[in-house]
Amino acid sequence: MSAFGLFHAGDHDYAVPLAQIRKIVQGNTLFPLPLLPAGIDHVLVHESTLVPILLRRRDGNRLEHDSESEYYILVDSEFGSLALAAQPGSRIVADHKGILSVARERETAWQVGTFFYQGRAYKILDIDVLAMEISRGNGSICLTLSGARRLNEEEAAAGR
Amino acid sequence: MVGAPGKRLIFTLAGIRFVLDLDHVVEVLEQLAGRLDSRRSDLRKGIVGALDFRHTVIPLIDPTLMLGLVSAAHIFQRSVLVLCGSEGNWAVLVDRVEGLAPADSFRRAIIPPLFQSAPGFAGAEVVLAEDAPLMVFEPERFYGINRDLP
Repeated sequence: MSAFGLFHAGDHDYAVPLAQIRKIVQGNTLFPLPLLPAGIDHVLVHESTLVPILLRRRDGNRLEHDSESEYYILVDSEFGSLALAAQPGSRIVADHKGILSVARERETAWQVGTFFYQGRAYKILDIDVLAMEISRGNGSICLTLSGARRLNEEEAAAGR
Repeated sequence: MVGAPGKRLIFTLAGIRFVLDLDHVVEVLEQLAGRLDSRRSDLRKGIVGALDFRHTVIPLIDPTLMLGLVSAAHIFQRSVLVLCGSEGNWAVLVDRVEGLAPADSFRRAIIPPLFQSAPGFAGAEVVLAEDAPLMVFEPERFYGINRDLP
């Protein structure tokens, strides 16, 4: 049996294969660090390892630090552990409890497909692709809470 | 302060904590007013001016320029670390000096592969003190003939 970890971040719902979820932690302090890849500006520390925060809750445009109510889903990827910031209410659901839809062609590189469960559509994240895009460090793509691609300044200036 | 091995100096820049081997530190200056000649700046090299120190003039580096950080503190509210280098003394602007700590009170943080491949972060060292990360400040990245810009 396979299962997904389902969580909410901002206005969107996401799913991650359970096999990739290492742990869910709460109340961790976030730390800023310089010179990180585009799209990442904070880390948390877990078992002496710096863990990049990929999805994060925002108040307006600002990250809320040290929130005791913040949950982080630690996932494994080819680039090491990553943390996905999530709102309370995360759950693990067996895949046969919902409807799995995998598109023949991905709308976005980091979305494998969609998992429909109790009337909600959860974007299934491809963590490795997401990390790979960020590791390029060119800022051309990063996943924000809106789930949208954020163009970097050069692309915006070029009007692409 | 040279000659006090086994200790590290902790300082902050733009809300980020850094740690520096005390062996590099000549003196900590809390007052910058009256010592700085900003006409002799070279911002491309991170030099914000010339600092009058013990009757000599030495370059004053602001690391935030190379680290992509923004300090909230006014320049005259910031502190200065005078460091010894292969080309003589030079100085670095910091926001605040937190104090000293024994070198063995830090342990090395594990850097994830995602960061190791980031151009600016590659080669950087991070240590942990009570599970809080501190960037290891490497002077040669900021000034001197062996300067290796992040």
